[in-house]
Amino acid sequence: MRAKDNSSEGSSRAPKRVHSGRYLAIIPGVLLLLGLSVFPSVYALIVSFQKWILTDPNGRHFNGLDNYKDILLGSEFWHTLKITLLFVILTVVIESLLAYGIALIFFRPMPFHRVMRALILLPMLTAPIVVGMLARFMFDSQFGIINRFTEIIGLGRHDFLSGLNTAFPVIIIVDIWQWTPFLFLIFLAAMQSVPEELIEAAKLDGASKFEVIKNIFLPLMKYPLLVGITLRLIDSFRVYDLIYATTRGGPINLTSTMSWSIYDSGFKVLNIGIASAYSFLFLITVLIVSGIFLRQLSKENEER
Amino acid sequence: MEVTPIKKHRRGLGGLAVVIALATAISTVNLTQANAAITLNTIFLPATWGTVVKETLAPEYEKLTGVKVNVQLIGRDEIHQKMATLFAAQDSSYDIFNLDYSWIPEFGRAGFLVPLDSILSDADKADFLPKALAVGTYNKQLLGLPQTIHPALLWYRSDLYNDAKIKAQYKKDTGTQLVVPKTMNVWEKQAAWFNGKTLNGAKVYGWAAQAAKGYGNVHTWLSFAYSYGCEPLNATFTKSQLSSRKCINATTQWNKMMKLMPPGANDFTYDSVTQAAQQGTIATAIQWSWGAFATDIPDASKTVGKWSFAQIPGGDGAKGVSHLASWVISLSKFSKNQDEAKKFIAWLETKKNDVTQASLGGGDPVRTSSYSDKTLTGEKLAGTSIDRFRRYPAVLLAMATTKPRPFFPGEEAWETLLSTELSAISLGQKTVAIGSKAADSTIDKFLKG
Amino acid sequence: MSQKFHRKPRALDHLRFVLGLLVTLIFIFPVAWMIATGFKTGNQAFSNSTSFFFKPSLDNYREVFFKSDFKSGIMTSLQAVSISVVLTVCLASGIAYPMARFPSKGMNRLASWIISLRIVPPIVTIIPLFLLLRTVKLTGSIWSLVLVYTFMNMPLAIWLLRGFFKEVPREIEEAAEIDGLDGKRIFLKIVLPLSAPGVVATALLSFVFAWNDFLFANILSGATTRTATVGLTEFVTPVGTAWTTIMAAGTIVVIPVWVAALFAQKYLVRGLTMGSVK
Repeated sequence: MRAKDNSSEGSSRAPKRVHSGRYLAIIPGVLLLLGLSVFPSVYALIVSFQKWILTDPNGRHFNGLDNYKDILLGSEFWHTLKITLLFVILTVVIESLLAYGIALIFFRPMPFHRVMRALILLPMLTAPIVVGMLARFMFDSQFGIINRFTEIIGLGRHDFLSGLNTAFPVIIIVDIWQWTPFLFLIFLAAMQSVPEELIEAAKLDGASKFEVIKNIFLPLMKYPLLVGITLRLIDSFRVYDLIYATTRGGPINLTSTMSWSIYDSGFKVLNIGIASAYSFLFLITVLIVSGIFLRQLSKENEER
Repeated sequence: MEVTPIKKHRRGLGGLAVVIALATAISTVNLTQANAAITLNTIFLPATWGTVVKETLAPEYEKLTGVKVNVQLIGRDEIHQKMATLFAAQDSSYDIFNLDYSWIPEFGRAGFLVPLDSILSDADKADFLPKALAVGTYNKQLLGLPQTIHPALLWYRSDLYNDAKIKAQYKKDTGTQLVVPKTMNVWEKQAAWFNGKTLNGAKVYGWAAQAAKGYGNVHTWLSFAYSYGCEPLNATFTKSQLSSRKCINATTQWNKMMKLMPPGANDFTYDSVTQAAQQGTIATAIQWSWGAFATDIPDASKTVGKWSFAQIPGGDGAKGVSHLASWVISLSKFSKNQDEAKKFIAWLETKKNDVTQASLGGGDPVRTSSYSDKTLTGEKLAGTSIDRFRRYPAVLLAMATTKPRPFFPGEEAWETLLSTELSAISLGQKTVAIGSKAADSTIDKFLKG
Repeated sequence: MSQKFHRKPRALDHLRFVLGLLVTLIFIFPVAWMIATGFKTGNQAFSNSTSFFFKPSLDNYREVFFKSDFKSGIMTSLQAVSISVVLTVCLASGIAYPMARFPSKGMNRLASWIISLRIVPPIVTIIPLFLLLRTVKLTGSIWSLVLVYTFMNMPLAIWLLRGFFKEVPREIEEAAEIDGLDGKRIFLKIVLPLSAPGVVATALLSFVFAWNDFLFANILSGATTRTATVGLTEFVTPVGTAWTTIMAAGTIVVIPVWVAALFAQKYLVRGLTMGSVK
C-alpha cells in the first residue's frame, strides 16, 4: 500500500546483511492466516456450486450455477442488498456527522472532559449482542422505557421493533448510538494533532471559525477521516448480533440485511449451498463498496 | 509520540500475564474433573418441563444410578441450529435433545436419531396418548419419546363471562347471550365487543395469541386453518394450497381477529400473551394449554383462578380443531452412551415421573392414565377450592381431534416462508389473497427444489 | 495537547460544557438503565410507572451465578479469549516486525493481503470455517474458538503492531546490531520493551473483539464451550424472557471490558486511533 515510501526508505535505511531469521518469524502467522482463509474459501466456492442441505441424507451434488441463478433471479436478494446498502450508508453518514460535531465539543479541554470522554466510549466497548438485548428491552412495546418517554412527550406508544415504519430506523439509531463513539475518538485524536500554530495563524489573519474548520481542519484531517469512515464502513456491513437480538429480520423482511439472510439460509433452512453462494455475492458487494474508499485511502497514503 | 520505557507499562503486562495464567490453571482443573463417571450431556428447552428435569429429575437420577446428567437449557431456534450443525459435524458431545416434534422428520430422514421403540413396553405404548406417540414416530420408528403435549385451547376469562352485569350489557348491546363461543363468528363478535372496554376498572382487549414473525404467527394461524378445514399442504407435501377457498377463509378470519388484539400484537410472543393473561388485559386467548399455570401464580398474576379453557371455535360450520404442540426427547446417533441414555429417557417418562413432572409444574402429561391420576386431579390452588389442573378435561378433549404441523422434513423451512407472508398480511402490506398467492409460489418453489 | 488553554468567551465554554454533558448522558443512559434493571425484581422492572428509584436486589445476580450455567460461559470465554490473545500477539509480532523493519515489495503485497482479510465480513467466513473445523473435528472444542478468534484479530493486530514497531527509532536497533545482538534478541530485548504500550493496546483490542464476539461462538460452541455472550441468550426462552436476569448477565459480560478499558484507556485510545492519526 505504501510502495513509494517504502522503497526509498528501504534502500537508505535497511541494513545490508540479509537475515533469513527475519522471515522465519513470519511463517507461523502466515500459515494460520492461509489455512483459515484460502482453504475454506476454496471449499466454500466449490460448495456454492452444489446443492447441499445439511440434513438431506442424499448428501450433496453439483448443480452448476443453480444457486446463483436462484438467488439473483429471486426478489429476496435485491431486497436485502437494498436494505444492507441503506443501512451502511445511513449509519456511516450520520455517525460521521455526529462524531465530528461531538469531537468539536470536546476538542478543547473543559471540566471533567476526561471522565466524559471515557464514559462516551462505553457503548462501543459493549458487546453488540448485549446492545441488541438492551435495545429490545428498552424499545419493548409493553414495558420499554422508550415507550414511556414517547408517551410522556405526547407521541404515544409504538411497537417500535415490529412496526413497518419504525423497525429499520430503530436498528439504525441503535447502531449510531453504539458506533458514533468510535468515530468520535478517531476524529478527536485527529483534531488534536492539528498544529496549534496553524489555527492561531489563521485566526490572526482574521479567519472565522467556519473558515478555520474548512480550510485547516478538514484538509489536515482528510486522511484520518477517511480511515475512520472506511473502518466503520467495513464493520457496518457486518451487522448481525444486533438483528439477531432484536428484529430477526422482521417485520416481514424489512430489517433483513445480507448478513442476516445468509445466517437464515445457512443455519435455519440449513441450505449450505445457497448460503455459500450468497456469501460470495455479499463479499463482492462489500469489496466493491469498500474498494472505492480503500483506493482513495491508498492514494492519500501515497501523497503523504 | 515519545518512546516510553517498559517500566511504566509493567503493571499492564503483568496483569495480562496473571489473567492468562489463571485462565490456563482453571482450564486444567476443568479437564481433570470431566472424566469422573458416565455423564450424559443433554439439551432441554428452557420451559418448565426442561427446568424440572434440570433442577429435580436429573439430580434425582444421579442419586439413583450414579449417572450424572448435565442439562443445558437452550431456546427453540438455537436447539434446531445446534442439532443441525452438531450432527453435520458428527459431534458426540451431546447425547440427548429435547425436540419440537416438527423436527423429527428432518433429523429422522437424515438418520441422526436412534429409534426408541425398544424402551417402551406394549402396556406403555397403549397408555401414551396416541397423537403424542404419532408425532414422535417417523417411518414407523419411534424417534422421539413424548415428554409433554400442549394443544392450543381457547382461553376465556370466567370472571368476565360469568359476571351478571357484563352479561346483561352484552345482551343489551348485541341481542345475544354471552356464552363460551363455539364458532369463529360468535367469538369474533365477543372479542370485538370486549376490545377496548373498561370492565371492572381495567381496560380489556378482545384476545391475544402468539403473532410474532417466526414460529409464533404460524402456530396461531394453524389453529384457524385447521378449524376451517384448511390443509396448508397436499397429502404428499408437494404443493402449497393456501389459496384454496378454505385456507383463504381461515386466513381472512385470522387477519380480522388480529385487529382485536392489544397494541403491539404483531410482535407478541408466548411471553407477551402470558403477561397479558396475567395482567388481565385480555378477555380471551388462543394459547398452549400447559401455559395456563402461569396465570395461577399469585406473585405474577392478577388473574389467579380466573381463566377457563374450551375448544378452539369452529369456522364455516366445521368443528374447531386445535393445532398440536408437543416436545419429545431424542437420542443422538453420535452419542457414545446410547444405552445409558435410553435408560434415562425411559425413566423420565415412566408413569410415576409423567405425573411427577406435571405436579412439579412441568408440561402436561403424555400418558392417558395420568389425566385421571388422583395426585393431579385432586390438587387445588393454594388457599382456594379451584382445581389446579382444571384444564385437563379440555386438553383431553382437544387431543382427540388435534392436528400436528405438516409432518415432513421441510417443516422448519416451510414455517419460515409462510411466516414472512403471514406477517406481511397482518401488517397490511399485502391482502389475504395476494399474500396467500405469494406464499404458495415461494413454498411451491421450495418444495420442488 | 499541553498548551491549548486559551481564554475564550465564557458563554461559549458554558454552552460546550452543557452540550458535552448532554452528549455523555445520551451515551451512558442505556447502559446505566441496563445496570439498574439488573438490580430490580421483575415487578419493579415491568410495573407501569417508570422506576428510577427502587430497592436494589441481588436476586438476578444470584440467579446468574448459582442457578444458571452462565458462569461456565464466562470461564469458557476467559480461556478461549486469553489463549487467543497471546497467540494473536505472538504470531502478529512475528509478521509485523519484519514488515515494519525490512519493507520490500513482497512484504507490502503480504500486508495488503492481510488487510484485505479484515474486510471480509464474519458471516462470509463462518460457513467455510464451520465446514473446515467440522472436517478436522474441532467443532465443539475450545480450540475452534481460539483459532477463529486468532484468525479474526490477526489482520488488525498486524496492522497496529507494524505501526508501533515502526515508531521505535532505527538508531537504537542499529546500535544494538553493532553491539553484536542478533535479530531475535534485538526484537525481544529492545524493540518489544520499547513498544510495550503498543503491544498492550493491541492485546487489549484483540481481547475486546474476541470477548464481544457472538456469531462465531453461537455456531461453533459445543456442550462444554458456550461462551458468555452465547450464555446470555439462554435467558431468552420461548416461554418467557427473564429481562432483569439478562440485564444482570449483560452487565457481567460488559464489566470486564469496561474495567480493562478504564485502566488502560490510554493504550486503548492509541490502538483505536493508530494508523489513522500519526
